[in-house]
Parts: sequence; structure tokens; C-alpha cells
Amino acid sequence: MNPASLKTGRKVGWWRLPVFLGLFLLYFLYSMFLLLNPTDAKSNSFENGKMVWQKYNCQSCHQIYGLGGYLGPDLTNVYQKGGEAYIRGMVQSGTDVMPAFKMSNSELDALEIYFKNMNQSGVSDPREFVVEYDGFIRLK
Amino acid sequence: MKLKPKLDTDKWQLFLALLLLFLGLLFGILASLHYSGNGIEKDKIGFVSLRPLHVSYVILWIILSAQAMVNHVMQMQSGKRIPSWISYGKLLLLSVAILAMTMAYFNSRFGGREYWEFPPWIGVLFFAVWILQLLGMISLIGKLNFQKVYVWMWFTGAFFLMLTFLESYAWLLPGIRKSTIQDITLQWKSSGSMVGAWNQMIYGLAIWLMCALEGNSEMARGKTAFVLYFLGLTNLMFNWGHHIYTLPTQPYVRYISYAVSMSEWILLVRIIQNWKKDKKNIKKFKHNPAYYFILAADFWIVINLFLALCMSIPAINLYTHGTHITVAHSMGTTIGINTMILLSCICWFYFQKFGKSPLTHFHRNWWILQITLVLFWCILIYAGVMRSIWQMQEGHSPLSVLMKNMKPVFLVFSIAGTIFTIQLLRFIYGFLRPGRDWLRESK
Repeated sequence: MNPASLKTGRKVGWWRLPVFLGLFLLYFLYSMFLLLNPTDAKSNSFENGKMVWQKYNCQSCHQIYGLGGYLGPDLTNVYQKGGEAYIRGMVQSGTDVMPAFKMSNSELDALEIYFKNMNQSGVSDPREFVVEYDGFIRLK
Repeated sequence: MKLKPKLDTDKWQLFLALLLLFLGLLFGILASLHYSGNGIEKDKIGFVSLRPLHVSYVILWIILSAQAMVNHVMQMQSGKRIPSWISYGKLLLLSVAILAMTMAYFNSRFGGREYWEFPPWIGVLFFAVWILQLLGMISLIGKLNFQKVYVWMWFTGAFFLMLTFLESYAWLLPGIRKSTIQDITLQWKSSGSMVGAWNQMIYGLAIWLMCALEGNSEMARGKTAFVLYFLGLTNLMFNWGHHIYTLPTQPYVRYISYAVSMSEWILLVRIIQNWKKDKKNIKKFKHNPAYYFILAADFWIVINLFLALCMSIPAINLYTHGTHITVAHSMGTTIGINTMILLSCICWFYFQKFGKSPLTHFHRNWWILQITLVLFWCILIYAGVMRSIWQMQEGHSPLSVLMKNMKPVFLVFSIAGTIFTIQLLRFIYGFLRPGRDWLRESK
């Protein structure tokens, strides 16, 4: 069948456009609200570290809050577990799977501050959560 | 409707998309070998390059092939052509953007985020392509019939792709990336909605195809069709929070997402109800290879929708988040649903033009494709369950120990992926074999 023959003459129901516009307005307001109301304080040092994280595409193997690649571990709270020396050592020497990255000192500093900030922002370990009666989860 | 013969940029875009699909799967196999310890040397083209090559190529296959087929159908329906400057401009920008992206990945020049890890300036080229796509569709608007739900879905998809792509670069604004949690929230808001955007285009194509197969557009015109469309649109807009349930963002993000996502049970029940009807149809459309891919997509929709619904419940999400179950879900939707619907449309065009199946032994090849995909998906679920058990254990061993123990599982995963890719390549070859005959004017 030729798709051109699928034309019909009936008019569009009047309610469809207002429903679309109403939903879009809600979406727009929701988006703007999220954009203008950050939950946490802003930090210049976090920003620099995030750029290093993106520049070396760390997200392809690692996760932050469980989001990212699954080849390596989640690094949300790596600062708490290993500290600065551990982070620096891992990045510079690599592992069996991970290559050694040749980062400058300023990049390494920025990355450390990024992990420090990330660690302060919350916890990603699922064992730290409990399930509530309505299916939601909350931190212990 | 006879259209003036000219270089058909939509068909070239479709061929480009098919090439990206093949390359995307190839890079996926190479990346998967890293899990079983058989990957390319880590200091050469490592996982950091292979993963974005795989992800970006496969996503581009989905978006570009959907756009090409939507343009083709809309031009047929409206009897008008998209202006040449739009068509040629889009193809030129696309070629430059894909080339720049590939070179950036091969040279380990990153700077972007998940899905689009290339340096942000390349994103400008892609954004221009999405704008041209929308402009091209708008140029046909006067002659289109907005009574059919799939036309709404195509416009919704093109519009929200542009909008969410722009939003995914909100981090370039001074101030946004300075806030840890807001930054991650906005990233996954845009990425989640972007998936919904391309799904609108593809599901619209599926409805159009069913209408074309049945020779009547009733199913695309009723109130039910539009109610389901608005349900999908609501999910596109508000159901992205399940990606970030553990993130300490505003609690209402979780509440809204949880509530909206549960509305998808309606879709699931509806699809299962329609299966009875589909069973009857199979006899009617036995001769048309397109219908078999639609059937496959139906199966994957049910499986993946059920999985998505489970993962949208925070109590279950706690166990699946950060595991390969999430990968199974994304592979199930991009390959099982999106790719099957797109292949179905290509089969339909092929059958219309050449009056035969693109492959000899079509059914046998179709079955091998589906069985390897099921195997591939099950291995991912198994790997996800193993990781989930590991991450919930008190005092668990390091991740490297788990990954070492799971090497045989990942090897089977790579083998299943390789068989699937070879099988898909047979279909791609079947589609492209007629060469120049494809580019001649449609019957």
C-alpha cells in the first residue's frame, strides 16, 4: 500500500493541542525550577576536577552514584576509602586493566578536590540504604 | 505521487546509518573483550575510546535512520520535497560531525559526557543537524494530516531531541557545573528525556508501518491512540528520575518519577491485549518480512517494559542500579525494540520496491538473530545479578576479584555479540546489495 493513500479528511480533535501545550508548560516550569534551584553549594574547585574527569573520559569505566561504565569500581566515595595518596597512585601507575594516565600536577590536584567534594555530597553504596514500606529508599 | 528525481539525501543518510550500526556493533565487540581480559592493549585503542565509539555510533544509527525514514514517509504523504539547502546542508554537516567525532575518539580527545563524549564544539554540528531536521519537517507542515498520531510523534521526537540535546550541554553555562548534585541531576534529566525523544520517532514509525501493512490508518486516529501518545509524552518529560534514585537531589524528583513511571503498566497491559490480534495478523502478512521484525519488537517491548517498570520501583532499583541489569535494559531497548522496528521499516521499503525478501532463508536468519539476542540479553541479566549480589554483601571482596571470576561469563557474552553482529551484517548486506537500484525513483 502506498503511504500517500493514508490521508483522511477528518479534523483533529480540539483537545489535543491544549493538552500538549499544558504538558509542555509543566515540563518547562519543572526544568526551570531544577535549573535555578541547586540542592548543594557551588564550588569552583569542583568544576575544575569535573573537567579533568571528562577530559580523560573516566566515566567510560567508572561510575559516580552508579552512573557510568562498569569495567571499574564506583568512585563516589573513593576519597573516603583511599584518600589523596591512593587516588594519585592509581591514576599515575594504573592497573592490569587501567592505563597509567599522564596528568599534570594541577590536574591531579583538581581531580582530588573533585573526589573530596563528591564524597561530601552523599553515599552511593547500596548497603547504606533501607527500603521503606511504600517502595522508596532512604539512607540509614 | 510522483516526485522529481534528484539525489535522495534521505537514502544516503539511511545507508550511512546502516554503516554506523555495523561499526558500532564491531566496536562493541572489541570493547566487550576487555571484560574477559582479551581486549586490545590498554595503552593502544583502549576501552576509553571503544566504549564511546560503540555508544555514539549505535545511538546515531537509531536517530539517523529514524529521521531518514520519517522524512521519506512525510515527503510521500505531503507530496512535497524538503528544500534542497536543508537536505544537502544536513548531510554535509552530518558527515563532518561524524568524521570529527571519530577522529576525536581515536585520538582520545574527549571532554563531553555520556553518549556524546567528544569535545563540545562537535556538539554544535550535531545540534545544527537536529535543527535542520526539524526545519525540514516544518517545511512540509502545510500539507500534512495532523489527525494521525504518528505525525505528532515524529514532530515531538524531532523537537525534544533538539531541546534535550541543548539541555545536555547546560553544563557549559557558568555556574551549572559548580554544583555537584545539580550537575548530575540535569545530565540525567536530559539524557533520560533524549531517549524518550528518539523513541517517539521510532514508535511513530511502528504505528505508521502497522497502518501501511493493514492498509488502514484507523489505529492512528482514535482517542486511544492519542491518550497513549500523551502517556508516552508524560513519561518522556517526567520519568527520568529512576536513573538517580540514590542521588541526594530534591526528593520530589524521585516522587514524580516513581508516580509517572507506574503509568507504564497501562501500556504493558495494552500491548499484551493486542498480542491476540497480532497472532491473527501473522497469517495475513506472512509474505511480508517487515511484519516479522515488528513481531520481534513486540516481544522485546514487553520484556523491556516489564524490566523498566521493576527498575522504576526504588526498592528494586536499589539492587539493579549500577549493575549489568541496567545494560541489559538499554541493550534490550536499543537493539531489541528500536533496531527491530527500524529494520522492519527498511524491510517494508525493500519489499515495496523489489517485491521480495532482502535475504534468502529469511526466516532461518531471523530466528538466529533473535535467539542470539535473547542469549546476549540473558547473559547481561546474569552478570547483573552476580554484581548485585556482590555489591549488597557485607565485607565484599574487591571488584577486581568479582570481575576475574566472571571472565568466562563475559567471554560467552562477547561470542553471542559476535554471532549477532555477523547475523545482522547479513541483513545489512541484503539491504544494500541492490546498490544503485535503491536510489532510483520509488514505484
